[in-house]
Amino acid sequence: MFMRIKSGMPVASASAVLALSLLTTGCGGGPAAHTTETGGAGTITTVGQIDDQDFAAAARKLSQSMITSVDFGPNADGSKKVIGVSRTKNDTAQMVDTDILLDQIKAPLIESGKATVTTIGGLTTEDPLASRNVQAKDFATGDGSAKLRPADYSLMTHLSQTHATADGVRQNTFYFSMTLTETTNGTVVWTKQVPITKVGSHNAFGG
Amino acid sequence: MRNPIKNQIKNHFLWLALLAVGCAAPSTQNNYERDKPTYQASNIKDKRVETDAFLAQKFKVLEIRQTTVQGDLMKVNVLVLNDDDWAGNVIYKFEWLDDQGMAVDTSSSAWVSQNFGARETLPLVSIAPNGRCKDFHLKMQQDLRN
Repeated sequence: MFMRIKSGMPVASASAVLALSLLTTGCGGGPAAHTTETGGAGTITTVGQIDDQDFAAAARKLSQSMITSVDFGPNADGSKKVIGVSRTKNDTAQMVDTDILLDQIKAPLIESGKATVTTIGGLTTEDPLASRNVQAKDFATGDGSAKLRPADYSLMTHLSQTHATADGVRQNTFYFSMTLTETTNGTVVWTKQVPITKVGSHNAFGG
Repeated sequence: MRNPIKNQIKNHFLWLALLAVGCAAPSTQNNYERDKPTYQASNIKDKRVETDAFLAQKFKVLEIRQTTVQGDLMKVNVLVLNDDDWAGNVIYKFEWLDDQGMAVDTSSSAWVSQNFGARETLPLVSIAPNGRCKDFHLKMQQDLRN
């Protein structure tokens, strides 16, 4: 027999209501703020934007392809091949921080020990302090011993996008293209395009 | 004069036809290859810790191959089959270990999503971040965002 409370509602029913309300409070407003692994299962996948996991997938395929395809044998003096970052063109419909992609390309190249990247000899000077110090050292010694090492390769990046809709479903394909050119003769030694296609009617959360 | 029973039967057939169109299994792919492959793959014996039975049943690791690139960089190729009539996504991550079994902190270890068509076999590929890396772990999870 149920014990009755003032309203006449059985205790069992009251517990059920309480549990239900707790459940609704917990689930109704979405998850509470928390940190999660970047690009992992608990993140968001959008239809119209480049997500962290898209940058990671593209960078991984591009850097692996470059490392596998290009013969980064050392120079005659034993030094590593140097890559300079050239033009990065963004033709997608959104503002993209292209450094997110480039940083994920440069890091594995340097980590591999097969090539290195110049931060003062690219199209844009990424490290002005290093550039100034090299110039100052050159001026002080006067023998050009610290002379800027020219890049052996030039790396060009192009981001573009196509868009389509059908029956309320949106599709976006983001193309991540890279080209590596030998600076001594201007010939392309490697090029690759990684397309990432995203289809859906709404963004998805992994929970 | 309209026959209500005949109309009902007709409606039932119409619904059944619509249902059949809507629920038809997605097309799978046919695969063709040389009878006897010309390559000699270097396969690795693997150990599996499968805590997600659904994932293990749907996405089957068929074999793991290895080679080296750029002289000393280990490259692994994990052949995975989506053993199901429905497409699906997995996310995966390679973690690299040095010759002492210590995890190597590398920017290359990121979760990557991979879409598999119905009954499709695809390789998950990773190249060791440097020559010190001698072994690896592969982590796979269902991608519930798709």
